[in-house]
This record gives sequence, C-alpha cells and structure tokens, in this order.
Amino acid sequence: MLVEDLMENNYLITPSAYYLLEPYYKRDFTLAELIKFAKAKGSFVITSSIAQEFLESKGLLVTTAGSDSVEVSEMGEGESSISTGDAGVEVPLEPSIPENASENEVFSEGESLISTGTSEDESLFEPPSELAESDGTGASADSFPVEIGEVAEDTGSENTGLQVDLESNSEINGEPEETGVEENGNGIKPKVVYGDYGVPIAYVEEEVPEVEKSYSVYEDVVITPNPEFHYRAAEMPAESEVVFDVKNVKFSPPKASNAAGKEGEFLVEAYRLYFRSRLKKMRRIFRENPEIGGIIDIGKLSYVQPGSEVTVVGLLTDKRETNKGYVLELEDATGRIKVFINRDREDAKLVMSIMHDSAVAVSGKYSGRGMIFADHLYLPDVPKVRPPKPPLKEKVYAVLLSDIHVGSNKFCEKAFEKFLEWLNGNVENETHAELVSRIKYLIIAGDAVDGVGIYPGQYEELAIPDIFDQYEALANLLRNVPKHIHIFIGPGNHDAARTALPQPGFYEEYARPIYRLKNVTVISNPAVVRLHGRDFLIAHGRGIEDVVTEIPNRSHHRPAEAMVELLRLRHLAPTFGEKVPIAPDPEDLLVIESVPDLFQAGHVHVMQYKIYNGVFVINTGTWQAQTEFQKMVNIVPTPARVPIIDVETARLRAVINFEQFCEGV
Amino acid sequence: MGEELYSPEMKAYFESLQREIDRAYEIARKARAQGKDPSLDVEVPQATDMAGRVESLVGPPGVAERIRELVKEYGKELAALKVVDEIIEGKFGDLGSKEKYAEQAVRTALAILTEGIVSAPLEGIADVKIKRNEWADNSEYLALYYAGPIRSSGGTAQALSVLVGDYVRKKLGLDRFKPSQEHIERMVEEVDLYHRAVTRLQYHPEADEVRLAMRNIPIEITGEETDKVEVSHRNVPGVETNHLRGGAILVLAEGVLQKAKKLVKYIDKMGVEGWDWIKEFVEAKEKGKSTEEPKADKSKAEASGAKEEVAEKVEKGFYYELYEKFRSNIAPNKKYTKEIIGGRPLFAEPSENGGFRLRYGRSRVSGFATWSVNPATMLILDEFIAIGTQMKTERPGKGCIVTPATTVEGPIVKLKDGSVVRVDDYETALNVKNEIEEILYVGDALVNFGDFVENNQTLLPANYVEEWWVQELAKAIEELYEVELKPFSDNPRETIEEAAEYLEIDPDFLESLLKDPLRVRPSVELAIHLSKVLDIPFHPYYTLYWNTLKPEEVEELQRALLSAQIEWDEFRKLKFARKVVLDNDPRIKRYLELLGLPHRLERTEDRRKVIVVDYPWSSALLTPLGNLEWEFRAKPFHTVIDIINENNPIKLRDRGISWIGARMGRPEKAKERKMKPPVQVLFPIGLAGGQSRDIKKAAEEGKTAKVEIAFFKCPKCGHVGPEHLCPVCGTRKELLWHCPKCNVDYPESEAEEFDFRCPRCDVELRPYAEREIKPSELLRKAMENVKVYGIDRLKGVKGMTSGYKMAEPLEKGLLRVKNDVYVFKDGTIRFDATDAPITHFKPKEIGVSVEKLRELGYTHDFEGKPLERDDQIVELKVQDIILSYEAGKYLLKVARFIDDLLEKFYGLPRFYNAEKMEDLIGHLVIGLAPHTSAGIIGRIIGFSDVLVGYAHPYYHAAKRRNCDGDEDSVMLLMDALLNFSRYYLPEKRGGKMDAPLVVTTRLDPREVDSEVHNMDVVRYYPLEFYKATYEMKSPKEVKFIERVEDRLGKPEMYEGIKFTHDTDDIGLGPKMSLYKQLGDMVEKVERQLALAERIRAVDEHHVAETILNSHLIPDLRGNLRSFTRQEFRCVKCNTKYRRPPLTGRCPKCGGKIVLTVSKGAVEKYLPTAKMLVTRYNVKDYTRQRICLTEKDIKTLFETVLPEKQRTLLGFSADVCERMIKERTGTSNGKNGYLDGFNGKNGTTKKSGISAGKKEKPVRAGKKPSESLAKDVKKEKAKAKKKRKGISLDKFFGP
Repeated sequence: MLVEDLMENNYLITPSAYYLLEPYYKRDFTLAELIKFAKAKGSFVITSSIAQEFLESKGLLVTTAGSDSVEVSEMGEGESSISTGDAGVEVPLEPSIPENASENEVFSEGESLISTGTSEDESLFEPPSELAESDGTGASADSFPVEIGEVAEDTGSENTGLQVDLESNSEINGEPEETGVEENGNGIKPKVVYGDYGVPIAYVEEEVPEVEKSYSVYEDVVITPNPEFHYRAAEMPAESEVVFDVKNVKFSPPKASNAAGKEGEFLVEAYRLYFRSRLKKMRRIFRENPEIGGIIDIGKLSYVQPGSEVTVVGLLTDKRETNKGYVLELEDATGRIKVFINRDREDAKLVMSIMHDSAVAVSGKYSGRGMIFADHLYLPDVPKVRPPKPPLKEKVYAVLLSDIHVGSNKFCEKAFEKFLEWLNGNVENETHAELVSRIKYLIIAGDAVDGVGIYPGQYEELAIPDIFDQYEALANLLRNVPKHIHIFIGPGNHDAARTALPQPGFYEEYARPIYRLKNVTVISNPAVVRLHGRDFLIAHGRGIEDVVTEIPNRSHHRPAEAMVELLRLRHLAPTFGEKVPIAPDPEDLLVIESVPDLFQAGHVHVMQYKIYNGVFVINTGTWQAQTEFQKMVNIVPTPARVPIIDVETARLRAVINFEQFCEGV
Repeated sequence: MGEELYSPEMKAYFESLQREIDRAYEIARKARAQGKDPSLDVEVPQATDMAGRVESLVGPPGVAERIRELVKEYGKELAALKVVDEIIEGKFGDLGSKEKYAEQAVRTALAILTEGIVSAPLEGIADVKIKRNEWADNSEYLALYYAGPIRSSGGTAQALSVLVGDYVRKKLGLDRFKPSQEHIERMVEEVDLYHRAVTRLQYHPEADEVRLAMRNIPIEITGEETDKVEVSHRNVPGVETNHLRGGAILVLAEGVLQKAKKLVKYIDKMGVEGWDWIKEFVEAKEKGKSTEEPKADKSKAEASGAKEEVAEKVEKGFYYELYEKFRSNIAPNKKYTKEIIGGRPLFAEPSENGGFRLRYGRSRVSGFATWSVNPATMLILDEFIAIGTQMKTERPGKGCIVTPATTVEGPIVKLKDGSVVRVDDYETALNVKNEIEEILYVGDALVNFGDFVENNQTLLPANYVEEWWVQELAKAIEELYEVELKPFSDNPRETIEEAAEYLEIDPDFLESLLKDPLRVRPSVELAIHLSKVLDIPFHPYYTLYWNTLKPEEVEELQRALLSAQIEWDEFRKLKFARKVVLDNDPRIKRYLELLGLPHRLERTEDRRKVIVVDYPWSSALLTPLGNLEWEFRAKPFHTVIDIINENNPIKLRDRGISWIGARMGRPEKAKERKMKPPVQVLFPIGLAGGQSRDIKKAAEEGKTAKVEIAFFKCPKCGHVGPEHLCPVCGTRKELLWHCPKCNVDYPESEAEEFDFRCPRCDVELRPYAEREIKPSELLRKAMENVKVYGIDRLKGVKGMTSGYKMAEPLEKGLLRVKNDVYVFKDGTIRFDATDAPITHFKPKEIGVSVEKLRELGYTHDFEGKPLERDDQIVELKVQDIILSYEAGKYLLKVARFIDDLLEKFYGLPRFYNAEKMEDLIGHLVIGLAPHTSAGIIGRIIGFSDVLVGYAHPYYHAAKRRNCDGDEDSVMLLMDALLNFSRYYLPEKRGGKMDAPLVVTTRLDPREVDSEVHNMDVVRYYPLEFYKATYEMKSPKEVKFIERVEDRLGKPEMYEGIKFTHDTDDIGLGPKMSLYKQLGDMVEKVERQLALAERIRAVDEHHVAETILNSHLIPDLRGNLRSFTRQEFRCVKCNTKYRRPPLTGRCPKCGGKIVLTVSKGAVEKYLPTAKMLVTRYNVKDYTRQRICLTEKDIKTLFETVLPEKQRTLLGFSADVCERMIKERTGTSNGKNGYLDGFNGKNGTTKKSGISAGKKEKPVRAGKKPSESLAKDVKKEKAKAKKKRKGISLDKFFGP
C-alpha cells in the first residue's frame, strides 16, 4: 500500500526503506507526514536513511549511530534539553508556572478577567521564552547562528549543533537502545516472515514506542522574537476593558405561574420575552432620534381620531408588495397594525432594508380601519454625527482577525506562522517595523478552530479531527504572539461553544489551552471591547447570512455592506427562523444598544470594510483557503489578510497580506 | 403478433379474463349511466397495448400504428429513435415550430421507453426549448425542462431521455450546449444542496462527477423549481430560477450518473454518438473501485504490489490464485454500510467471511431483485428479516426483498453451551433461537443469475453447493460408465439401474438423489465412496469452510487431532471416523467453530471438558485431512484447500469464497391505504366537522359549512345542490359555472356559449364557488337513499383539491362507513403491499382447493402431470395474484361495500356475494403502482399468510416495479369502474399519478419493464456456468442460461418457466419483522447491537459508529438547529407564526401559543447516543461530537430552565467527563446532565458511575448491548422520579 500511495504522489521508495516504514504506516504516521519529510529532504526517493531518520523523528526508532542527514525536523522535545542553557534558572519555571497560574486564573477568568495587569509577568517571562524558541528554529533559521552555537556548547556535544538534537532525542527516549541497535545496526533487511496465504511481511517488534498523533498540533511552532526589535507598545499602558459581555448578563427567566408549569410554556415565554426585550430596547433607540415624535402603542390606536398623525414602533411581522406600494405589518406588545406606504414616497425605498422581525418606526395618518398610511419610515440606524473622542497621546494599533479555522486541512498554517514571525519583529522594512512596534491588541472574532461535527463529512476535511487538539494547536500558535499584545477572542459557529446566539464563550473544558494563555481574554459573541475609550463591537456575524438572503443586492461576497444593514437595523441577527439559530433567552442581547466606533465580524471569509455614519465596519476574512463546500456554494475567500486598526481613529491603518504563503489559493 | 403467441391454454386464460372484464364493464356502465357520478361512462378505459397507451398519453395522433410496426422491426429502444426521426420529418403533421417538434419527439420517445405506463412523459417534462449559448458562441442548443414527476420514470428512462434529447438535437441540427463555469458549479451546488436540504439522493455523485457530466452532456438539463430552497449561484444566464430544480437534479444524479453503466449499454444499442466520455467514466469508476480495494481489505491477505516484487515467480495454489484474482477484480462494496438506521441491523459487513454465502439460483419466489434465504436464517437473525422485508445489499443490486427457500443452507451457530449447530430447518431454529452465543455463518442467500445480468455485476466465484456437485456426479458417471443421467429430472429406470450397479449403490437412492439433490444427500461414507470411485469433489454438505482457516492453524488443528481419541469405522474398506474427542483447547475449539463443524462439549468422568465431534462431522473433519495419514504442512501461496488437494485423494472445492453483505432496509408492508387523516367520502366539510372532518358531527350540531364545491342545477325543476342527479325529479343536473368577480352562476350550457368567460366581467368562470351547505339536510337525504342510519361518524375532507371540486355522493360514504373501508383521493379503495415475485405455487400454500384451481384453468403441475394433489407444484399464470390474508380481509369488506353500492345506490343486483375470503377467488383486481397511471388487470387465485403481495414477476414488471422493496396497491376492478373519476384528481403537478387513467387487460411480457427480461427461467445452472464464475466473467458473456429475453415473442414466454430451488412453503418464516414490533429507539438500537455482537461477520463498533453518524447525530443536530429556528403555533386555530406574538396569545383567535419543536424532540436520541459512545469503540471524533452536542443542548436551555436541567434524563456523565479528564487532566464536573444533581442521591450516584472501572469501555464486558436498554430505562426512571421530587419541593418550598 505504501508503495502505491507514494507512487501516486510521485515518490519512490527503496525496498529496504519500505521494510523499515511499512510496519508503522497508517498506524503511527501518515503518508502526508512522510511526504512532507521527504520533501524537506529534497528527495523524491525514500531511501533507507531517510526512512530511518523519519522514524527517528517520529520517535518510532532510536538510533545511536550518527546519520548522514543534516536536519531533524521534530524538535518539540528538544526544549527540555536546553534547560541547561544560560537562562537556566528561569527556564524550568516556564512550563510549570503558567500552568499553576492559569489553574488559578481559569476560575477567576470565567467571570470578569480583564487582563490589564499582566504586562509585568510578561516582561518577566520574556527571556526564557525567547531562548526556548531559539532552539526550534535553530536548524533552519540562518538569522540566529549565535544562539545555536550557544546551545551546542552548553550541551557539550562533540560535533555540530545538530548532533546535539540527535542525542537529546535519544536521551528522551531513554532505555530502549538495544532494540534500536538490533533494528538499525546493519540498516538493512529485517527478518521476513510469511503471513496470510504466504504473503511475506516485514518482521516487527510488537511493542511500539508511544503512539504519536498522526497530525501536528504545532508544538514545534516556536518563533524567536527579533531581539533587536523595539516594541513601542510594550511600554504603553494598556487601556482596555470588555464593556459588554454576554456572560455578565443576568437573565431573569420567566416565572412559573404554577408548580406544574410545563417546560414548553417556559420556552415559548422565553422567546416571547426575547422579542419584547428587543422592542423595548429599540424603542429606547428610536426615542434618541429627534425626528421621531411621540410614540404610541398600537393597542391605543383605537382611541385615536381617524385621520390624525401617529407614530408607532413595532417589529416587522410581514411585508407585501402591492401595485401601489408596500403593506407592512407591525407588531408591538399591545397589538398589530397594517402600514401602507406609497411607492412614490421617498422612504418606500427603506422597505427593502427592513428585515423580518426587525424594529421600525412609522409615522403617518391612522385610517381608523386598522391601517396607517405612512409618510415616513425610520430604521433605528446610527446617528450621522457623534461627538469626537479625545485624541490619544500616542499611536496604538489593533490587529483584527477572524475565522482562523485551526484544524482544517485548508488552514493556512504557513501564512499564519509567517504572520506570527512578523509580529515577532521579523519585518522587512521600517514601515512594517513601525506597525508591529505599536500593535497592542489582537482581536479574533470567532471560528478560531474548525471544530468537529460542524457539517456532514467534516471529518474528511480535518487535519486535526479532535477538538481538544484543535484548541491545543491554536494555543500553541497564539503563545507566539508577543506577550505585550493582548488577545481578545470570541466564539463562532465552528467553535466548541453554544450553537445558538448569543454565545457566551468557549466551553471551558474543551478550550482550556486558550484560557490558560496569560495574555488572552475570552469574550462572548457578541461583545464590546473598549480600547482607549473606543468601542469595538465584535461579533462573529452569522446575521450576514440572513441579510444576503433577505435584502436584495446584498451578497456574501461583499459582507461589509450586509454588516451596514445590520448596523442600520441595530441588530446582529434580526430575523428569527431563518439561518441564524437564536437561543430562548428572555433578553435580546443581539441588539446593538450603543453605537460602536468599530464593528467587526467574520464568518463569510471575505475581507471588506466600509465607513458608515462614522462607524468603521469591517469583515476580517479568514485563514482558511477555499474548501470544497465553499467552492460548491461559490464562496471565494480572501485568506491571510491582516487588517491593522489605528485605535485612535478606529480606522484602518494598513492591511498586511500573507496570502502568498497560503497553500491552495 | 397474432395467435401463434399463445398456446391454446393461454389463449383460453386470456379469453376468460376478458370475459370477466367485459362482464364487469357492462354492469359498471349500467350503473354509471344513471348519472349519479361525475361522468356518465366508466372512466377507466381499457388499453390495447403499449403503442395504444403511448398515443393516448402523449400522441401524436396516429403514432400507435407506427410504433407497433417499428417495435416489431427494431425493438423498443431503436423504435423510439425511429419515431423521433419520423416526427421530426413531419410524418405526423406540421407541428409549427422546431421547439414543438422537439417537444413532441422527446415526449413520445420517453413514453415509448417507459411503456406508456408512467406519467413522466406528460408531467415529468415541463418544457422543451431551443436556446442560445449566449455566454459562448451564441449557437443554438436544446434544453429539456424536467419537473418533479420525472422521478416516476425511473433512473434508466431518465438517463435515456437525455440520450433521446441529444438525438433530437442532432436531428434538428442544433449545436451542443456549452455550459459556462457558472452553469457547471450551479449544478454541482444544486445536487449537493438537494441531497442535504430536500431528500437524500439514491446516488449522491461527487462534485467532479457532476462537473464531468455537465461539461459533456450535449443538451441542457434544466427544469422548473421544485423546492423553495435557494442556491447561491444566482442569476446564471439561461437558468430561470434561483431555486432548486429537482427534476433536473434527479435526471443528472440518479439518471445519467447513477445509471451510467446501463446507459453505456443503450448507447451501443442505439448507436448514439458523442458519448464516449461516459464509457470512460464508467471504466474509470470500475478501476477506481478495484484500486481502492487492497487497502480496504486487510483480513484476507492478498499480494500487494510491493510484495509481489519480492515474491517473484512462485508456485501458487489454485485457490490462492483464485482468491488473489478475486480480490483484485472485485472489491468489497461498502456503499450500503454508509448508512445504518437505528433498529435496522447490519447483517454482514461487505464481502465478509461469515456473511451471506452467495448461492446462485432462483427459487419459486425469488429472482427479479428478490433473494431467498433459509427461513432459519430469518429466525436466527432475530426475525429482523421477515418474508418481504427489504434488504440493502452489497451486490449484485442495491436492494432486494427476502423470501423463504428451505433448500438453501441456514446459519451455523455457536450456542451458549459451547456447541456448534448447523441450523438448516425452521424447527431447529426455533429450538436454538434463544441459546445462541455467536452466529458463525449467517447462511445462504439465493441470488439469481438474472440479477447479475441486470446489474452487469461480474460473476463472483461460485461457492460449492449440491446442485453443482450433482452435475459433477452425473458428468463423471457419463464419462466413466457412459451412462447418461440428467440431474433434476426423472431418468429412465434402466439407466438408473445401470449406473447404480456400477456404483454399487441403491438405484432408488440414486434416482431420488438425481431428482432432488437439494433435499436428498448421501451419507458421509457414501459421499466418500462416490468421490473415490468417480474422482469428484467431496459432497458440499460435508465440506467444511476450510479456507476460513489459515494453513498454520490447520497445522495446529492437525497436531491436536493426532492426540485426540478417534473411533474409526469402515465402509467398503474405506476408513472413516465415527467420533472424535478432543481436549477443550480454546484455540482448537475456535478453529472447529470457524470450520463450521458441528460439535459439542462434554464432561468426562474426571470432570474435564472435552470437544466431541459426532458422526458424520467427525468424518467430514478427518476425511479431507486424509484421516491423519499424511501431514498437513503450511506452504506459502497456498490456501488450506490447496494443500489438502495436493495431498489428499479426495479433493475439495471451496464452499465459502463469495460472501455478500447486507443490511435491513424497509420492513415489509401489507396494509389498507388511508389518507391522513382518514377519509370515507370525498366531500368537503371545512372546519365544521372539527379536527376529524366528521360530517356526521357537523350534521348533528346543525352547523352549516362554507366550502368551495361544485353545484349542479336541475334543468327541469331548478333544484340546486352538490348532487349530480336531481333529488326531486331525478333528472341529470347541469354543472353551475361561477364568476368569482360578480358572483353569478351560469349553467354549463350557457357558460359554454360564453366560452367559459363571464359575459359581464370577462373573467374566466370557475366550475365551483364558495357555497354554504347544510350537512344535516344532505346527510339525512343520503341516509334515506341507502337506508343506512346508525353510523358513528362519516369522515369527509377539509376541502377538495381537484380542479372541479365535485363532491362524491354522500351515499357512497355512508356505505363505506357501514363496511368499514376508506377511500383514496381518486375515489377508489386501495390495499398496499410489498411486491414479491412468485412463479410457482402449491395449492395448499394458498388455501385453495384443487377443484377450484382446475376451474380457474390450472389443470397440470409444472412438470406436466395432471393436477391432483394439493402439494403439487403449479406454474402461476401471469396475471394471477396471491394476496396476503390482510388484503383478503379488507377486500372482502370492499366487495360487500360494492355489493351494497350496487344494490342500494344504483339499484342493481349484487355482484360479488362474497361471504368469506375464498369467495373472492377468481375475481379481478387492478394492480397500480405509485407514479404510474396505467393499471393492470389481475385475478385473485388465493391467499397466503404473509405481509406481501405475491404475483408473477411479469405482473410486477407491468406496473414498472421490481421487487427490491417496492410496494403498490390493488383495488377491486368493480370499485375502480364504479367510483374512480378524473374529476376527483388533485389539480397539481403529479396529481395524475397513482390513478387508473387506463388499464391494461392483457399482459404482454414484451411490453413490461425490461428488467424482468433478465430473469432466468432454467431448472439448474449448468457446469459451464460454475466454470465461468471461477473465471469471473461478465454475466453478458454467459449465453447458455436461458432468460425471459430469449423467449420473448414465443408462446414460451408465458409458460414453462423453471426455477432452481424449491421451498417447502412460500409462507414459512417470520411474518412480521422484529423492527415493527420494537418500541422506542433505545430498544431498537439495543436489539440491533445485540445482534451485531452475535454475528461474526459484523463489527458492532462499526455499526454503533455508523448508527451515530448516519442516523442519531443528524437527527440530534437537525433538531437542535430547528429548535432555535422554529415556528410557533396556535393550539386552537393552528395558525403558524415565525415568532411568538408579543401579546402572548394568538392574535387571530386568542388561543395559546405553543412550540412546534419541543425540547423533548431535541434530546430524544441523546441517551441512546451517549450509551453508544460509552459502550462501543467509536472514533474520538464521534465521541466528541456527542459530548459537544450534549453540551450544546444543555447550554441552550440553561438560561430558561435553570433548575429543570438537573431533572433531565441522561446518564453516564462519565463518558464525556472521562474524556475531558483524560484529555485535560482536570474535570470540571459540569458536563453531563447528571452533574446537575447536587445533594441527595445526586452525588452518590455520580461517584458510583465515575468510580466504575470501565476504563476500556468495550470488549471488557463482551456484550455491551445486554444492559444498554436496562441502563437507559433505569436512568429514565430515575430522572422521572427526581422530577417529581423537585416539583414537590418547589410546591412546598419558599
């Protein structure tokens, strides 16, 4: 099998290598790993020496003999061997302290951890982490030859630095040296026996050293910060706060009328309260609009003289087009009313933008027969002008990301690693240096991992088919974000989180590695983060799906326009019963109650931004290349783009594009 | 055509049928002429033949005659193309435009291809257009617009319609359709979306397959929207809709792509050019399958590429090579295992040793996509299979139904006491049923050769069986002694005696052995003798499954036998073992089990357990091993049998090479058809009758009803009402046409003058209006008319869906109530049953006397002897049917209803006068399948106690059904003639389906679904056939087995059909699948897995995982999704709301608002799912999905029902808990529902569970399913109790 599989991929294998590899194939390593390894070797023939190295790298074989190759790809375990390095005193703390710390934090974090006070710790831990990371890139990175040397000296190896790694490997694997000799001593022809129907099979020792995962969770991604790089942001005081988070909201669940209250009734009631709460919040928003006069309850219309001017606010129940205009049906807590608006009216254009179940204000003549002839329609909208915010003393930037989809086989891991390197000061020029230096915040708006079981057949498309490992992998990547950059991360529909909106956060037990990162704050979907006095509304953006189906000329290819529609309706997912799942919560937390300075969403994998009435609206794209499914539904993603926001103005400062590192684009 | 087609008997048979038909029509015409029905004549015309049906269905006029000629000359497929030629050449008149020509040509051709039976040519093709490749070179191309009912024509005809379309295109000189990337991707999306959002496609093609097809099909396959599901590839040029085009999707996926293999056959036959791509596609697919295979199958080793290099040129054993070739040519087909539904078990994994053993042949009740298995197998498989139960199969086809055959082998099972038993008969099966520990071999599946032809399935190497052995015997006798003997028939006594003398055996025995080798078998010593003398392989009954073992294992077994106690005996100087006693070594025991060798355990005096192998099995074990006179030694590249055959004088053939996998599909069915809700009369009552639409109730309450209904006016006295006949003066009334605008009625005669438009408003008149009716008055009159008074209820309909909205006379409803029967939308009364084939029966099986049968024309048995006894086997006449008892009981009621109707309503003499079921024998019915509009006359000749409708395969084919689990209906002929009316049919697309628009009176096998032409009709398959299977030939190359096709056009097509395997009784076996008797999902899954654990050929972990993935998880996730997007409903007026009204009450009627998706529905399968992931080895991925889903459900309701959640059922927080703990080192103890318990019994229970040392959840307990249901129930009960407690707490608490 191995042979055919390799040949399909244009790789060849020598017989002796075959016998070495075959027993482990599909059990301890995958074809992809082998090919990757061979590719790294630059060889399309898998020789026994390559095979041997490969097995060693996988910890499947142990050897004492030096090999003729130059590289060893897996360095994950190398870390411990460095513990004798110059920062030795502190390094041992590295693995243990964060664990303890996070252990404590995990419990406090649940409610209200806002990580403003971590900068001290960060600086404390910077040197060891730098050192540990230096090892990982040691073999390939030519920019830090000095450090490699250091390591080599410290471990006291006779030869090159690379030999060290080999030895450290054997150290880790410990005892089973004898077996290693037996198998590799001569390096050829293992004993052949006959299996079923006399088919020869390579002889394999039954015990296999420690089954390893067939996929990487990026333990080996350890990026060395540029030691000469100066982070201006590290010196600035952090000024961030989560001003709105679903987790902090206390609901008042519907009260049972009697002890035998049925759960079905509770649920209907909860949904009813949900919409009542929406109406109430929307009325508050409309009241702030000076153009809108006294709002009257629909139920009280019967007391109104026919022909008089009235203003009502209601949720749209139904809309129909007629010859002459549109008939809307609105509902408030007291009743329902039909509203007619003539096609010639200027506001008739607005009808298209009103989504089902969103709130709208109407003023016009009450006909007396259950119908209002509208002169004006009003969406909740955001005011055209708002008082300016005080300027900041110094420029500070935030990076906005979403839809990383770690674990997907289409996740652009190379590009993401490049991005991390960039964040670590490995930049090309001064412009980039200025940007990186001032980045103080990183916001991730959902779909951080690809999740499990999100859609049928997902298993086939996962590189990491395990939710724990996906978060582990994510954390392994994010730990390379310089510690002074604070990360806000919220859930999306792919994450291990409640499926229905709003989503309070990740399920802690599944996303534990994320919660353990010191410079991370988990936020809800939606959430509002205030950075230096600027409000950033962060949502995953499932509501965009409904906008593009309901509002004409809106498309998921241009998500920012759809987001503007949501902003105008002041709601993140107005329509109930379409694509967006809504939880039976008695309060509507998806209303955009206060106008943000910036509105970020993701979900549709296309980056686009717009300014609407002073609000910067941005959809932040993705880190996942086009999937089969997306190809089918015609979604062309824009992966690996990094928008950098100037916090002061809440406007885009720059977009850094890593797309060229993204395979499959 | 003409007389020579029938033998005199057949002619008499058809004539007698026609006489009966004519008699019925005469009476019905009399009744109809009274004017009490919408039409004055019978509305079911008799059709002459296919050509006639085509012309009356789609035209053009005059085509029937040409079709008859062309079919005679060229055959059906080519004739269809010839007709296309002639239509386009204008032979049937000028049709106006190219488009019209194209349309007519396509419709007529499709009608010919579908025998004029289904409504697809009418309703399945919405339009045919000529369009331009605007996005390319602006050339003209042909577009076919398909609609939903195209489904009814079946995949092959769908695919052919595309082929015909292309032919038409070329004929008209149009260019190809040149799809843009957009077109292609649109279809790719649609196919997938349809599969996910609408219904599962039988065949779900890969994206690249769709792309390939779209790029290459030279016409546009498009259609009208069928489902309100929007696509994301919008506004594609030339595509009119942004919704799903169901018809087009079906044609592409289930037509062209699924039937690609068959299409290739027709492409060659019809000589259509430009379709090479599809041949390549089929070839590539076949290849793809076989390269996939070596990876998949590890259990049976085969030489993979690399290993072969090493092997170089070695000597290989015969069977070793055969196996090798088998594995590389024919890969296990896993498709049917992709989906396993809870409660419908998997019986065998793909091609797995121990699954269904392939046996070639056709029983009296099999063939035509039907398998026969031993009834013992049905029992041992826990009665999940009953007679008529559908199975989804690995090959040759996708599915089949199961019928009994007692002459094939049953299962081999290991009992709880350690003994192994071959269960070949029903009684043994009943005895051991509850004692089974393991099902080692499931048993035989009798699959006919014709099904291999039909599906173009490469022949699998035949397993060694009696019918093969007996031919080798006969052949050897002929070669050795030059005495010619024929198996399966009576041989001249002299030749028998001569041969018997040579062989030194009893001539009587030889005679019966030859005559019935399936039931008569030699003793083991005789078998050894015959093999020795004639040098033929060992008798298959005594041959064991040697190749299930590896050579090394047989070596070991032989060593054990050397130290065993063996009692020897002698027969004509042949040594054979009488008894073998072995030490009870578990490994040795296992080898014996795998051999399929019956044995038992016994305690010796010193209380040691020993394995005892009794006669004849002792000899069956030792003879192949040469009675231990030579040493069995494993040899590379040789199977066990190869080694035995090299060393032993008596050779073996492998009895277990080819295995087929299967799982349960739909259960069998035989049930009267009721609409939902049930209806007794097609009379509209609106909401006046309450939820049950009860006219009686409305009448009693004195309500008036406002309904849309057709009214009639008496031209004489001016009476107006829904009756056709004036109740005052008895005149036939005129239909009132109504102007919906000015509300004026015009009698039909006037309306006609105005061309059915309102003279005042110029609006089109409608044949009905919303009118007020008084049920009480109408009902009273009707009751008086038919003298039926004391009825409980009379269920009408809410509103009529027909175009005219004519109501049925209430009298008919009253009489239906009286006789307890229900009506279908077209006015007829139906009985539905699963189709099952039967070609021969015994009088005693169908409860009919020999005398009665002779009256019906059955004078001889199938071997030509006069019919005298009730156990003779008789060949069924093609239009005769055997109903299930259930059908008999119901049709008896229908017959009484018809008699009442004739007597009391029409004032005519009673027709059936049936007192008991038997009185219906000889009466006629119409058989009609869904999606078709042509019925076929059938004659009842008996009843069987099974839940299927047995009829001749031709008869099913005439309805365009095969027997792979399809079901259809019968109705009494007189019922259809009297009560059917087109005026009742719904006025929507597809409304004309499943209605007897025409009835075929004489069955012509050439004009039925050609699938049945592949059925074989021989008494046995010759030796050449078995040879061909070893060569793995394509069934097409096997020409020497006669099939129906070979007899078409000759009198023999009706008579002299043979079968290869007899069965004791066509009704022997479980009557009802266990599936139908089980309660909830937990119970179903439990039984299913208990069975999976027992069957050696099934991996229960795989089953558990598949149930989760294909059934439980989609259900859970789906319900979770729909809960959060659900509609709300008013309990009172049933109005639906997208969100709950803010006032909390229904704005229309003030009723209470409720959920449409309950919380219970969301979590229904959660306990079952959790048990499965707890107890079985499923992927971590799957386990995580379940745990996450549980968490999703829990968090969803968290805010609303904070206390309730702890009362929720659900147990084993442990599985998720344990996983979390294992993976993250800590457990937050908050995952499972049970963790919500705090205090009281909560803590104790939880600790109990997590303390349970089920570290390795599976295998340890061996049978996880045993306590599954118990646990689930226990937990449920606990949850219930707990709930009570809480509500009390709340009641008394603060």
